[in-house]
Amino acid sequence: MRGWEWLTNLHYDWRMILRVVGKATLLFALTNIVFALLYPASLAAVMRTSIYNGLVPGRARFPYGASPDSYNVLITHLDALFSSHEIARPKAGDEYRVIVLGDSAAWGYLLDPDQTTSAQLNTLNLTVNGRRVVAYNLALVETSVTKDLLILEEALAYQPDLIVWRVTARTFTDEENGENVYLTENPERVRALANQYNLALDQSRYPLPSIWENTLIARRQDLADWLRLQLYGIAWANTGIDQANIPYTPRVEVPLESSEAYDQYAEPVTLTAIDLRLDRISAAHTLTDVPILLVNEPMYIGSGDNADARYNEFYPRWAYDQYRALLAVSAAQNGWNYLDLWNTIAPVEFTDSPLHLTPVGETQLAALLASTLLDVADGRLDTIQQGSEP
Amino acid sequence: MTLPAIGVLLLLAALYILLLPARWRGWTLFLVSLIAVYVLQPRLAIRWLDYSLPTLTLGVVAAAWWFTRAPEQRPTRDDAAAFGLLVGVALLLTLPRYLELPLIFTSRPPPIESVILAVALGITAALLAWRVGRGRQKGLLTLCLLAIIALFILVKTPPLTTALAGGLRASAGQDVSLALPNEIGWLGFSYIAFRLIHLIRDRQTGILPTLSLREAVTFTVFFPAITAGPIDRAERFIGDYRSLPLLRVREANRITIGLSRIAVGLFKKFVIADSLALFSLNAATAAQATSTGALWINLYAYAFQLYFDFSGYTDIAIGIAYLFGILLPENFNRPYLKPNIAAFWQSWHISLSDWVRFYVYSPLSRRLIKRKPPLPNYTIIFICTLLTMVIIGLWHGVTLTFFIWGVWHALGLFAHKWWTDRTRKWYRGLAGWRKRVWTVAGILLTFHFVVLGWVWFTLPDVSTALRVFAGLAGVGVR
Repeated sequence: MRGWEWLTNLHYDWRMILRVVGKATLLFALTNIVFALLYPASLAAVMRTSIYNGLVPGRARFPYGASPDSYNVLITHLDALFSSHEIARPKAGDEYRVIVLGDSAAWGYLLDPDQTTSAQLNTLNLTVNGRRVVAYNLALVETSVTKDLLILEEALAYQPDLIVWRVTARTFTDEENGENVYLTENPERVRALANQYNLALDQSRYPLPSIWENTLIARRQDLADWLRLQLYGIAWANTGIDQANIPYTPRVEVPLESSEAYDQYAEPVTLTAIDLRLDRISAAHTLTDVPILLVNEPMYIGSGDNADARYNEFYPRWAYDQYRALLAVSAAQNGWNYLDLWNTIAPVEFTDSPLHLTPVGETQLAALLASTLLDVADGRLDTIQQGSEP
Repeated sequence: MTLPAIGVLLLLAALYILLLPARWRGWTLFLVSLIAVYVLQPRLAIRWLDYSLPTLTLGVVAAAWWFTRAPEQRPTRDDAAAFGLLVGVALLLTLPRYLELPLIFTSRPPPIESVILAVALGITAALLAWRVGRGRQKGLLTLCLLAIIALFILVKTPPLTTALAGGLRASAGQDVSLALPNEIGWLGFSYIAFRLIHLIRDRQTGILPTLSLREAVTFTVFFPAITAGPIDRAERFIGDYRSLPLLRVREANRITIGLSRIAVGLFKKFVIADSLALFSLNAATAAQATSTGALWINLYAYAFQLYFDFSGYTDIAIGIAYLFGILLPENFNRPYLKPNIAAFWQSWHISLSDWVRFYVYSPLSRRLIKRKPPLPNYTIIFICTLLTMVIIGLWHGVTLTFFIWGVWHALGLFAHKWWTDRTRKWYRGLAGWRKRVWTVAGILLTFHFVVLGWVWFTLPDVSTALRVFAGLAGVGVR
């Protein structure tokens, strides 16, 4: 074997092979055990290692979806998410750091990274007390208020000066529907939050992993995804692409159904603050002194048949009206900074869902947010603000 | 070859080493190769094609053996048994159509009657051709050679392949408008064609050793090397094959070297190459690149992805073959560290360049040298180099970009030859640090010449390639 003399010139016997295999097996087993014993610190140490914000620029938003076409991989470990994000770069001395939390609408589904709410805010050249406002997109493509709380808690390490929290009814009610991977894959943090702030949360849905599930071999998918995320950093730097946009049917073309079902309710019921998990909002206000601007995000309001029963395919009128009322009352009672923009964007500016905006829609939203954001930053706003209709 | 396929082959190797009596080794490799032709064939959209192509492969190989037998060679019982096994495997693999068996060997096969008819027709045609061509073996062999070349052109030229796909779809009652060139995905045909041409040419020149049907088939479709080589030579291969009964396969040395080679190959192919593939140059990444630097990164990534993928696959193939007792030839020898383009082509896909040198360059140059009136030396060198490299290019696919890639390397080789002839004396006088500097400069220049040539190799059309070249030079991107 020409060129392989380093391999073929040695003499191998069975004793040597058994010794090597034995040692390798022992080393592998030891590494796994040590990794499991040091978990979660062991995994976190790997996840915090990143080429982003060093060799390549940080991502403008968290990676979403396992899509090679858009250089994305599903990452659920918070350390890996944040270490790859541009927020992990050092905060400049003259920076007023704003983070935007929320769901796929805030993330910018079907939008380029420079078309999202945070990107649009950055084009407005806002300043607060001489510091330039720099907004960061920390939304994730899942509707879950507990997920948002998780991200908010983690984001505090990155010195935000203001938090813009985009919510909608589904943020509060969707959580128990199906499995939210960001919660199930971070059970320790979810449980810690639930215990610390007495959240109404079924912890049995978020079991802690066993020691065997924390070994290196059991965590191989996490490690492989982390590695893939680093490699995609080169593609991100080369292309600026983090989403493969797909054709969609605009909401204005989708007829409204007659059903009044919502969440687990087949017919109208009376919703309560517990149903809406508003304790998470309270927890966020307890967690930090950083000003939080709660924004009831705009949604598509349909017309025509069944418009008297439903606003859109997500929300029957009875459920959404109750949600809005409950949220407004809670905000007033608790002194939350609250901006209700539910009906402020024209129907034509919605894309594939009642919440996802076109670039024009996002520009309008950023303009609506801007002045309120500055008011909150200046401490001038602690009451409900109602946005105006388009 | 996928990871599961490699796993299965390793399991087979373990059984082969631990349990199989030595006298059955040759037949085992033959049988496994027959089955592997079907198992490794990718699934195809055209009905029955992923059964038909492997069957056609075996039929063509059997026919090639029949026609390339030495005139005095009579079929033996071994040949009859091998033929029976070959036909038996083809017929057996139609059984999943009738029995509820898992379709792991092939997708839904055609009715057994049509296979029997095809086999009967094939045998009849071969016997007729042999009968007609008796005493005219050279002419018959030339006809076989032309047939293989024609088949090669048919399946490697996109417009022809699309037309063929359309015709096959029509005959299978499928939508013709969906025909695509990559629907005729014939497993390893490029390599099989070259091995068959090697058999035919060596018979024509009288240097082919006597091969049994079993030896010829195993050589041509040897399972570790069927997908992507290396392209072995029959006389070298059957030396190992005939020694199998006497070989000690159950020794620590062989097993360690074989498994180590496989492990290295797996790491190169499935870790390094697959990682680089995430951002290596192709039509999509070329269009998405936002800067000159990005394009260069994509291009370097492609250069190393290609090397690690191909050499990794070769390592796996050599390692698996070694476990079974066959030592395949090397295909790579640190090609990107070579100081000139000639040395590169002695280190990259070595078996292919050796083949083309033996069957194209050398015979052509001999003929041109003898030409009356004689051609100038450099004209001969240029013609031979150009034709050789163009054939290597078109072997990958009959497209304009592969043609240009071949010409690119031909020009490089010719320029190197011209330069070397003029500077030989000066180069021999170099010593010490001057020689080292010149060597490093040569390596860098050769590497970048090859890397830039990959632009033609990987991109689908000339306009995209030219856009990339402009981008690499800073034109048209930020």
